[in-house]
Amino acid sequence: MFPQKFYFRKAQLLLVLSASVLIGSVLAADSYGLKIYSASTQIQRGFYQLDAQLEYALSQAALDALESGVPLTFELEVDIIQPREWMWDKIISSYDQRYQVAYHALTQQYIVTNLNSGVQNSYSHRKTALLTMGRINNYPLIDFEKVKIRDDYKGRIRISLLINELPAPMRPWTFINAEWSLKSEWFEWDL
Amino acid sequence: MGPVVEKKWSAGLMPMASLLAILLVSFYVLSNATENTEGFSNMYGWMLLINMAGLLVLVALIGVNLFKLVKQYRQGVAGSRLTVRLVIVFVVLSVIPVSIVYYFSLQFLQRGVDSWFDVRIEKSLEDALQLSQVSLDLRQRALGKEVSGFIDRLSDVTDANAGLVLSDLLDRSGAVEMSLLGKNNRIIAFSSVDPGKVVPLRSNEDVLMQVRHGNHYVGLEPIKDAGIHVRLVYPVPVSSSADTELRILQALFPIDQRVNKLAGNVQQYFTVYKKLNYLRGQLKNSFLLTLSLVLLLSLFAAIWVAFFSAQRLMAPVRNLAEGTRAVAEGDYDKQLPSAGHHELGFLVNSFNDMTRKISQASAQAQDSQHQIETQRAYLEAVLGNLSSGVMTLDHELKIRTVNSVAGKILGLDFSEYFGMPVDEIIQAHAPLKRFVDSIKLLSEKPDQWEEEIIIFARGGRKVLMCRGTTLMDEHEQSGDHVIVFDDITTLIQAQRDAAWGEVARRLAHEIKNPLTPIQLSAERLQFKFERKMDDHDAKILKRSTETIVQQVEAMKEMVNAFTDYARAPQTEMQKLDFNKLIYEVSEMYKMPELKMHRDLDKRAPIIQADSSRLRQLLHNLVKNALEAMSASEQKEINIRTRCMDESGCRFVEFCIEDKGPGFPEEDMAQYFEPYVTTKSKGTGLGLAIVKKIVEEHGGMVTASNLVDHGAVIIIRLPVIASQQEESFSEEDDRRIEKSEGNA
Repeated sequence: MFPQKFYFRKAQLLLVLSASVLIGSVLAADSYGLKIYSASTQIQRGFYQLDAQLEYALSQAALDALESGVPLTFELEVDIIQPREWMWDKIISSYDQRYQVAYHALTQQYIVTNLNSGVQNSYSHRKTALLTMGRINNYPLIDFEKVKIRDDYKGRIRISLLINELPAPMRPWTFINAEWSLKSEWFEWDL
Repeated sequence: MGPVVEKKWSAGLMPMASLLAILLVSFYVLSNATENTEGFSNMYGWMLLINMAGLLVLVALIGVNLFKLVKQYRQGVAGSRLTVRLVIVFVVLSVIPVSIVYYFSLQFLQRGVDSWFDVRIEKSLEDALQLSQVSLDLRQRALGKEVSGFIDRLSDVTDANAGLVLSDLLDRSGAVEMSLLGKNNRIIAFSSVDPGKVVPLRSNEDVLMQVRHGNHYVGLEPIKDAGIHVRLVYPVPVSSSADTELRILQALFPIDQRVNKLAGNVQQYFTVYKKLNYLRGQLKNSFLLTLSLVLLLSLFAAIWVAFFSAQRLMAPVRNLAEGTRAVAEGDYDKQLPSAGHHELGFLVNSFNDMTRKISQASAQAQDSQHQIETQRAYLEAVLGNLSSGVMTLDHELKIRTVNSVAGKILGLDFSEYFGMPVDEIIQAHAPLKRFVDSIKLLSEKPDQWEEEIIIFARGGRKVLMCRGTTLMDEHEQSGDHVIVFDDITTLIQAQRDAAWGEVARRLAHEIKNPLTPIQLSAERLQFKFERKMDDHDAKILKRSTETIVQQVEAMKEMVNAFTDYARAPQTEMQKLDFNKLIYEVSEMYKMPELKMHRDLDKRAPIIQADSSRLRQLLHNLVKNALEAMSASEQKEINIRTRCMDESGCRFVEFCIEDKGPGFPEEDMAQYFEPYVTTKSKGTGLGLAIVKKIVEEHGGMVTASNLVDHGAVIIIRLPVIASQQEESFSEEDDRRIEKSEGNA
């Protein structure tokens, strides 16, 4: 009654739904992902300043999107927390930093924009752009005078790709595709 | 399984309607999120989760319903087959159109989205981009040459003068910004057309590294809010005279504003087109996902609704089926829950009306039956308490009803003969043959009949007064027969006793009393006139008076004998060995000229009898036999006893045969009545007394002639002490028939 193609489509859909979650998560383990190698703070000029080493290893799907002119937005979340034993950690203060990476076809440049400050940098190579994004040096975090830091306080950092910032037609698919689930674990350090 | 309680439609509809409403809202949000609506797009993830959860809930609901339905189907629950059919029809009706729409939607999606894109447009956009790049490349080269021309001037410039030189170069070259970097990218000098700008736009590390290795860099760079610029980074040649560090010149040149704008447009549209081209696949995937999700949800919702509707629709039918089954099994009180105001509801209401009426009718029938039972029991009680036996036979003379008294009178258990022809009784109870034959004969009479029948049943000889009537049915045809019979044996006996008693009394008064004066008068006559007469006359007188006296004596004896007969002595029943008594009595009559044969059955049991009365009976019989043979030369008496079982009760049969002339055939029936005798002497009461004694003992006496010559008298005495239920043997049957034939 129905063309065989119809069944193929349905089967395909189900196959893709399940396989993408399974295979995608397996692939994610070694080939792509957002990682935080190190993070620390030091007091300089009256500020707690953050130094961190991050890695933006993008999945093939994300790279394809980037090359096709889709800007990717990443969010860097930094929290000062007070760990608690029986409850979730209390967040003392929280800082968000957003970066956007876009490809400029005419100039063949990768443009990294700090969405908070508006500062924009161009890079001829994607790798350089991502590497530069991954280096955070002396980022002023907290005014030493304003916030009293206790001994048990900790800092934590996480980076993630913001799917909601992607073009709308992509979003439904990225919700269920593991290749688009780009998010690092929280990395904690002692203040 | 009890009846399916009909819930209100609203109760079942509410959760279904709310679930469907939630699904519809989520569909709306999903479709809006798939399109580019900001507000909804953020909720896409949640919507996806909610829809997945809804899908799971629906699958679970369908699974539960399917499991229940399959279970009901296997158990053969009423209405389950129809429910399965309805569900299949509903599912097919929903699946086919939805699938067709899904298929064409997919096709439309594929082709529709692809149709937006054109290879030629893509090509032309790429060409435009390349054109722009070529155009800008020319500009870059020109600028490169220009910078190469003046870069040498910076070789010998000291750090202090560098600022001035840069400003000069800036003015001449038309650059927007120039900076000179020293070791560690330290800014030696900076010059910009924007006086407010104090920090140069730095090149990235890669470029600087490249330049430090002796290469130069020329590249385009989009600058925020300022358009595309050309960035040139050149190493400043080191002068041989001075030992200075390697310096780097950074210069930013604007491009023509018109070119900038056009190139910017090309870049923008190319990017948009490329992005769209890329998003095409993503869009299709997303649409496919949304559409499939919507399809699955709609499909499962439809299937669930199919289950729900089918079960709702079938509930009254199922109830009706169960109700009908209950009515078939006799439960007339079955009432079904109302099914609403549609046709099925009317059907259910009609069913309820029907069962109510059946229930009422059934109750009335039960009531009537109860009344009939009561009347029947009453009638049975009345019949049972009657002293008469009542028996009804149908037109084929089969036994229909018999009361308990009838069984007692006839001495048999009628329960095994109900519905059987009355002839069947004879099979096991041969002595009742006369009774049965009489009934058969008399029941042919159209009117009422009345007859006295003598039977020899358990307990001895019985005289039954039978009255019969034929009941006419509604068609005035001969129907059932009602036979009422009474045991009048005792009554007749009493009547007879009373009659003879009266005779005896009369004899005593009317005959015996005058006898003594007659005798005395005769003796006085002889005494007074004997001496006055001559011898001759005196002889005559003497003879006459002697005759009178003798005859009066004889009359006295006769009256005394009669009185003896009429007097009903109180019999003293006791255990008695009949054989022994026979032996004693017969021994007294032993004479040389008399041949006496005794054949006494040793099995004869002890009977319950009055020994003096039986002794008188035996004397009478033996005397009777001897008197019958008084004229015969051959004198022979045969005495026999037999132990016989008849109709369940045991009898002792006693026979006495003589070789006399026998009874005259014409008077056979009257030998046992008083004053019937063939003999010249005797009172004529001998056999009457015999019969009386036999009857006193509940026995029966018959007389008959032997085939050659002689007579036989047969007496049967019941064994009252041991009434054992024993069946007839065929031999006994024959013997009884034979003896009755003789009688």
